[in-house]
Amino acid sequence: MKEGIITKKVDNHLFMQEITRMFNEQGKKSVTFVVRGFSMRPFLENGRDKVILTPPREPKIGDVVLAEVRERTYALHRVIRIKDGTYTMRGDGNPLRMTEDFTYDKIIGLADGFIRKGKRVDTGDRKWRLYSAVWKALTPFRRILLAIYRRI
Amino acid sequence: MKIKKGFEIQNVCGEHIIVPAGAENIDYSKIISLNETAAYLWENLTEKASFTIDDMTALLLAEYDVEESIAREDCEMIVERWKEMELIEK
Repeated sequence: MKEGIITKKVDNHLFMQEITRMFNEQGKKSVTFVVRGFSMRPFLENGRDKVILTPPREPKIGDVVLAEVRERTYALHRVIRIKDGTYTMRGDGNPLRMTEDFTYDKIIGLADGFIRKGKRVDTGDRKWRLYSAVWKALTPFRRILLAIYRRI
Repeated sequence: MKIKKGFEIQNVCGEHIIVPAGAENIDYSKIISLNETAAYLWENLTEKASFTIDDMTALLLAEYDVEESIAREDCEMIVERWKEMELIEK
C-alpha cells in the first residue's frame, strides 16, 4: 500500500469536469488546487501557489477567471475587457498581445482568493487590490519587470 | 476501534479520496487517497460500530486471494496509517 505524501498530476480536462461536478452536483462552495504554469507571474508561481475557485458568476474587469479558451484548453487569467457578452482575459505574466476571448458558458469558476507562499490572500483584501492596481499601472514596463523577476 | 464520523469517500478522477462530509470547500492539494483495497476496507468498516484487526483480515480474505498472515500484516499497517492521519478512534 502506498505510503506518504505524493503529488499527483491529473489531466486538465478531467479535472475541469471534476470541478464543475463538485459545484453542480456536490454543492461545494469552493475548490482549492495548486496552480500550474507561469502565466500569472509574478503573483502566482507554478506548483507553489493555490487558487480558491468559486462557481461561475458574472465576472468584472480585474477578476481572475478559469475558463475554457479553446477546445480542451483552459486558462486562469485576469479579465481585462468585457464587450457584447465576450470576455477578454490575459495572464499577468503573459505578453500584452497574448489574450483569450471567451463567453459566459465557458467559465469554470472565479478566483475568490489565493494561497501564496502558504498565506491566504482574498481578492477582496487590500493587498490583492493594491497588487492588481500596481501591476495594471506598470503594464507598459511589464516585459522588463518579468524578465527581472525570472532572474531573481 | 472505529472509523471517525464525518468522512466520506468520493471518487475524484478515478481516485478514492476521503473528504470531510458536508465540507463547503474541497482542497485538492490536501487529499487522502485510498487504493482499491483500502477503499474496500473503508467502505465495509465505516458502517461498523467497532472493528478489530481480525475483522479487517476476514474482509480481505473474503475478497482477495491472499495468505492470512500477509492480509493481517497489511491490515496492521493500514490501521497505523489511518491512526496517523487521525481517521480512526478507539
